[in-house]
Amino acid sequence: MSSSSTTTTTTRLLMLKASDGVTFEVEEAVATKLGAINNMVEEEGSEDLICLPNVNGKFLGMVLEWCKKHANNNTNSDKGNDEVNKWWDKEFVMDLDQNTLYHLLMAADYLSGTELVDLLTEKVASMIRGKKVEEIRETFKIKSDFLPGQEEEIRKKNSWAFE
Amino acid sequence: MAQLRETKGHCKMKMEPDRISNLPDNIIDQILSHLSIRDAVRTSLLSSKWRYKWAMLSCLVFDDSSLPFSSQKHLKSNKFGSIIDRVLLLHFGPIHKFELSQKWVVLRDHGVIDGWILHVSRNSTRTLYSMLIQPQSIGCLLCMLKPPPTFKGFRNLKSLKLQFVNLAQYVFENLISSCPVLERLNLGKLESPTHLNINAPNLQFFNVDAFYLGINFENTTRLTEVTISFPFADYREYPSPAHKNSSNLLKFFDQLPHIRRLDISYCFLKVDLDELEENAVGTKTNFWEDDHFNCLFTKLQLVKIINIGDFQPDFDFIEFMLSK
Repeated sequence: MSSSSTTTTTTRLLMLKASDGVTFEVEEAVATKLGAINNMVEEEGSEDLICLPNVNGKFLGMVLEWCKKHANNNTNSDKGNDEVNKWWDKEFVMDLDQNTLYHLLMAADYLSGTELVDLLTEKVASMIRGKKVEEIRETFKIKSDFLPGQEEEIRKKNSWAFE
Repeated sequence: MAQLRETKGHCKMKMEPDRISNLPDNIIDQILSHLSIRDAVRTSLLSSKWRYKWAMLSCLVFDDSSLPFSSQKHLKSNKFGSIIDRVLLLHFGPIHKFELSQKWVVLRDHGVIDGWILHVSRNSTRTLYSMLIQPQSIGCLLCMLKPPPTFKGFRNLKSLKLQFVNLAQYVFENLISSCPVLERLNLGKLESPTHLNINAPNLQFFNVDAFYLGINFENTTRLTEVTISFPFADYREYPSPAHKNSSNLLKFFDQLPHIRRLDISYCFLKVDLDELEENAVGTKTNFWEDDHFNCLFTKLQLVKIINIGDFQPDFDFIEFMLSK
């Protein structure tokens, strides 16, 4: 899968252990796309097993899948790879349900996966963009808890945004 | 027992659906940053949890997408300005990025823009915690800038883009030198300044795409990437650059010991080198053979020169570059 030129250099393998005990064996170059892991590797150096008590195996797996794609695509630095990454990112977020989106965001944030957080927050933003308040509430099942009249007051304060 | 489990499950079902409202503030901030100000402000009506989320937005970008309706009508009624006023009035917390672009800014009232700039600069030094989190990027378009004497600059500003801004030469120079950690400077056409005198000890990226009579760097030893592209049309407005100082170029490169990438297009070289050759060194000798330049460009990795003229100085320059 990865390009032959890079495999000649020895790739170190890291063991990542999720909160539910599921372990993942990943190349260092892949795992260090996550800022938190990169820091741990730099600080602790020799440690090969990294425990991640705040991430469940299912979502850690998804985060690592994303990292792997991006790490592989970045090894041969063509301009076409940007396109590939973009296309792949689109696929990755396309059919995410809200529960998965939430947990992935929490995991990516915890692991300091800046690019992934950016991708996922943009996905959430795309579900809000240009929509009416009622539509957004419906999409995310948000219940309005404003007192009668309060809503009107807020609307008036920023009337320009609701026109 | 079974019943208990069922009610518990029921509770969970009821709690679960609204996931987004429970995301941490930093993530909500990022979600809102992807939206236009207009969309962000609209989230205040979702629920009480969302009411003030937008008001802590760390990136304030006022651009065309912030107002989807026809702009002409509202430009007349000074609406853009009042919206920005409104947003700044209700906003609290640190501002990392403040951007005004093109059609938004009301040209008639100069005081307005200064007020915003002052507000943003104060926001960064007034409150205790904002000493740590301060504006990092500011872009201004089509506006008149004349900060009041109390203006203290942007102590943490890292990136500055100015285009179509009307500001006096000394205001420009003060503005740059009062941003001590500035790393990126991006300049388009500015009204008034004819020379760019840039004193910025932390500057790393410099980009200019409008014509200026001279560019002087001072104290810019960390600069690594420079892009200079004068549009040809601009250059033709100044057919005789007789007042050019031949030491400009020498000083220019002297202040760039760490330069790694240099993009120069159109007439910059031709004009300066012609002058240089004739005035300072004499027409016959190759200016670049001067010892002074031996220490230059030792770190330069990429040079891009486009649309050069058919002149000996240009080739001399390229030859010199290649030798490095």
